[in-house]
Amino acid sequence: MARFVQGDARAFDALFGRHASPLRRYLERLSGSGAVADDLTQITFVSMVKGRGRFLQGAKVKPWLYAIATNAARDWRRRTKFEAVSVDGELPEGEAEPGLEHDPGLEKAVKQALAQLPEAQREAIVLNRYEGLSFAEIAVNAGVTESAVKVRAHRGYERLRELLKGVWP
Amino acid sequence: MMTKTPDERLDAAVLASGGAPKSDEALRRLARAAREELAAHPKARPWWMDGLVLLALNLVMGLGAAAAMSWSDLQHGSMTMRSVVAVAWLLMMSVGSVLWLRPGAMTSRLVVGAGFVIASVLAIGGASGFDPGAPFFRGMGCAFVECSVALIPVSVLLVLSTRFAATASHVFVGALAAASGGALALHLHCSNGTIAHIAAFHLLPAVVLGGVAVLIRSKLRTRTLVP
Repeated sequence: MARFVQGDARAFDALFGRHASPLRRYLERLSGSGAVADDLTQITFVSMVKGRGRFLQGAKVKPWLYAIATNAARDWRRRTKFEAVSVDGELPEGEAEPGLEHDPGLEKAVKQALAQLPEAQREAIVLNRYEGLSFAEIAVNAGVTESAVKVRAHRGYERLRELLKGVWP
Repeated sequence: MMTKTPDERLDAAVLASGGAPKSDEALRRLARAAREELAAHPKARPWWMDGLVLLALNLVMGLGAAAAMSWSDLQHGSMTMRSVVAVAWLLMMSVGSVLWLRPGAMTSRLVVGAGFVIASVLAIGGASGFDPGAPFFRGMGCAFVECSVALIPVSVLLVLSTRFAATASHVFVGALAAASGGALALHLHCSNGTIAHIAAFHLLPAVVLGGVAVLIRSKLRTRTLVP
């Protein structure tokens, strides 16, 4: 990261190679659209390059990068006033992540349920449970306290259980 | 095949909702714009550079206003308190100008916020109680001076705050630091030593300015989405 901050293109390539794919999938989870996730991935990495002077030496790269991606998704949602995520056709049969048992009905229900969560709750759940960031790492980059992130995640899970009643006990 | 628990089924569904992985070639295309940006600007701008810009502006405006206006001792209970409060505002103005935009945890913003509270408590605690009369008229004059001194720094702060994903706390404490220049000038100039006057016309305008800055920032487009 230090070499990238100093403008080393190869260091950028290494960072991109390591993080781009999972980051794009995270953005697709947040936005519900592959095309939007592509745009937001580009925006995230351009922002990373432009704002790399704000990276604190010694900090972890992954939480920082995911914070930029989360901001990009929020900004996009604000600009497009996009609330109801359409899920039709977003996940064609057989295109799910390899190695995972495929359950299209549940996946569609989960996508719809995630889309209905308030963005802060959705981000807290996805970042913590599915991207492996700690609550403290999410909090530092979101500019809020760790307990606030925990409360968001807890409320998100409660709401998710309500929305997925009958599918996820 | 082992039966999955409901939690495992949910996890699998959420992971699958991320869609299919992109090919390496498709991903590489997504990096093009960032690579071009890096080639165009190989040198990063450290975050504290913007803080130095604001610091210089705050010093010019705050110290300029303090030097331009007449000084009065009537507001202060003692000359010691006059000096202590002046140093508190000076520190708040200078350290706060840089610290408000420090990336990372909330701690630095909390320090700036605490600095404003401490300076405010000292200003009120060191007040003489002297009342020259015409509280509203004089009070509005003080509020006007404070807002005028802070106007340019707060405007610049708003522009600087679009260079990252500034939260309300960034903008609010940044505006408090910018308003501290006006508070310093008033501390040396104003002859009204009543607690009500200092609270309502020296301190409250800074808080209101912070609120207005947050409101304006929420309408501005963020140019770079780094935290």
